[in-house]
Amino acid sequence: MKLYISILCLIFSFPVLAQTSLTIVAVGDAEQQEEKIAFIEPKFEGTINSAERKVVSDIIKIYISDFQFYKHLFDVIPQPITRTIAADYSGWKSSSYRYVVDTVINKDKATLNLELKVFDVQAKSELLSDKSTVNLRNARTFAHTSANRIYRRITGKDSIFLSKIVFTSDRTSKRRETKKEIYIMDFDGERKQRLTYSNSMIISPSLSPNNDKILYSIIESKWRKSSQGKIHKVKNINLYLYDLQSKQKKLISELDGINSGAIFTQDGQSIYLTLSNLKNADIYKMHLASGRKTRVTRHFADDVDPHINAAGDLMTFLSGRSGKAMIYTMDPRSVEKDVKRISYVGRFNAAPRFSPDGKEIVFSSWVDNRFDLYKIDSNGNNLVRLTKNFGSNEEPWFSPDGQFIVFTSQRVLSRKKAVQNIYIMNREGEIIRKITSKYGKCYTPRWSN
Amino acid sequence: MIEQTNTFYQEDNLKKSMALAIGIHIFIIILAYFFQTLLGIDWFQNKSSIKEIEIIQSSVRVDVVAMPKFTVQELKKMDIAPPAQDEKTEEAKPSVDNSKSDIEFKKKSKKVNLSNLLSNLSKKKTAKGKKNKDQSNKNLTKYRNQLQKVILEGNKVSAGTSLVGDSLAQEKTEFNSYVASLPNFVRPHWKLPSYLMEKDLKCRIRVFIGANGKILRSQIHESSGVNEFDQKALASLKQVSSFPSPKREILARVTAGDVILGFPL
Repeated sequence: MKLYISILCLIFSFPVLAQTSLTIVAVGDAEQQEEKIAFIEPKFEGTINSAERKVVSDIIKIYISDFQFYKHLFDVIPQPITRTIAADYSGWKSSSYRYVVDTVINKDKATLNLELKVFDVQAKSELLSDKSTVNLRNARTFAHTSANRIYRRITGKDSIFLSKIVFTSDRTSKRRETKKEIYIMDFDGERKQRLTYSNSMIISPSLSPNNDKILYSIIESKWRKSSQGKIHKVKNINLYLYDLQSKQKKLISELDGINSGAIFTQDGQSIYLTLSNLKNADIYKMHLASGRKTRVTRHFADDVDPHINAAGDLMTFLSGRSGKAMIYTMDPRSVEKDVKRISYVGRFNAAPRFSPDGKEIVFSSWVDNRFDLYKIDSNGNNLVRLTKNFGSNEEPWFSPDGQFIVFTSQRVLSRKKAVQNIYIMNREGEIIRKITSKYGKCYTPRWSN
Repeated sequence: MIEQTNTFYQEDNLKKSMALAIGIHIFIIILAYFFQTLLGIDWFQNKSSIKEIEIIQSSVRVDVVAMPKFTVQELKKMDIAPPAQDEKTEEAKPSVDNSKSDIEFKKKSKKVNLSNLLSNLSKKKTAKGKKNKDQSNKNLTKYRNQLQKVILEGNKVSAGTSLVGDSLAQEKTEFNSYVASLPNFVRPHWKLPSYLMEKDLKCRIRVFIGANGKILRSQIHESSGVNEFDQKALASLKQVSSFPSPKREILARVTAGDVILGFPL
């Protein structure tokens, strides 16, 4: 009994003893550590002519250029490093490199083979080793493809290296008449290609989810009978669909007024668009095959410029219902459902676009006589500024991996002259590079999906 | 009759053994405390036995009154937040603040351990004197001026007056404000490779800080389960050359390792 009570007391006494008060303080989320990555100059085996050597060294340059986009992830050694030591991880142990990429070229009859090896120097392992035939005529695509393979092996995700950007440019304008046509280019601004020959003003292009169709609007003249019976010419914005494979265009909607700002739904079967045939602009959903329209917004103020998230259950749009152009979100599956105002500040906001995960919205806002880009969470929190003292910035659009934002930036040179080019920045507002130059004024860049 | 004597005997015995047990235990407790504080050894570090764990976080309230003036990049480059001591900028009268914190000392001391109580008591005696007040007044006007500027400019990030969040209940003791200032020194070195960032890991590290602010020892209090992550957190501490030297009254707690840094929380 005595022993029992003693033990009991002893047990109870311990927690009293153990009342050390500890104070925990949060350090917070870690910053991304940039990993050093180096590309070794290629090793040539067999007789390889100078033209082929040039192609290969260009491929390595493209690798470096591609990885330099992800400067928040990688610290890329800007030049290929010389092959002084045996190329595997053991040889680079004393270096500060995290990853080393090695290429060996050999010629087998007429085909040029590229053997790619990626080493994780710190983990002392070979991450990737594969051999492929270089497509000499399309070395750029080959380079982007293998750069993507390296990126995916390291990060486990797809890169932007194979993505494209669709935009409009006024480079075909004649003196007084502004013409805008649609162009397509690689994400890094290379291989620009003209798509439309409409000889008119094209606005707001938008790619389908599988990048095979483009919706766009054209400002066209239309004959209309007035109430007095007179026939006169009016401007009308009509919606077209362009097929990238067949290169054919098709008229989708030509109701009176605006038929524009169209975007695809995730299944690619329907579109959301702005119509103003009932005088005031509202957003509608339209089934492409049947042409059946359902209303999404119903308000006496104008509602324009819809964009939806990947899940299709949240739409962001611009509305004047508060008196100023402000950003709203709503559930687009029904009329005026869960409408929520997101932006409360700014004189004039425009072009709200979701990030691929739908968690953030990037938009432009009129501040100090120009547009600058801002980012806000889809629930209205965390408003941050992305650009400043960088010309007038508009038309932001997220990259398919959500790491980058493409946008246009205008520089006024004189009273009559200004240049407008396309730039890419990362999601934190760090400018990566300018991707168009001397290609007319570029507008409305849209990143492929 | 026999039964009665029996119970009498038992009760008597019980009283004796109880008195003995209580005596022994008081002795053990005193002895344990003595050794613990003297040698700085923590015998009871197993998690379940720790009763009081306090989490403090410096909170920031952001009032959106206009479009932000600074970009993300600019904010990143800016200096780390003003030292924790000055975070009271928005609290109107420092004198009121002092009395308030005194009341809360009493409140807290009921449930706090002996060493804590002692340190609080010692603090009470030296209750923030004139010198201290002047200092805080100076800081106050300095920051009030700065604040005025920021308000005029529209983009206001103010040290929390805690309208939301759980910091309302936390009084700013010397110890707490010292601890709250530590992350500012660690954060610049707290970096992770991308593949570890996405895993949503968490580890907690206990630090023992010496009188000169140097880290005497750091040990993993709660592992993330991934060795590399733990090592990166430890490495970030190693890169901190030294923390500010703690004041005398909190030195005991700081050297005894009462501080845990949460990576990220």
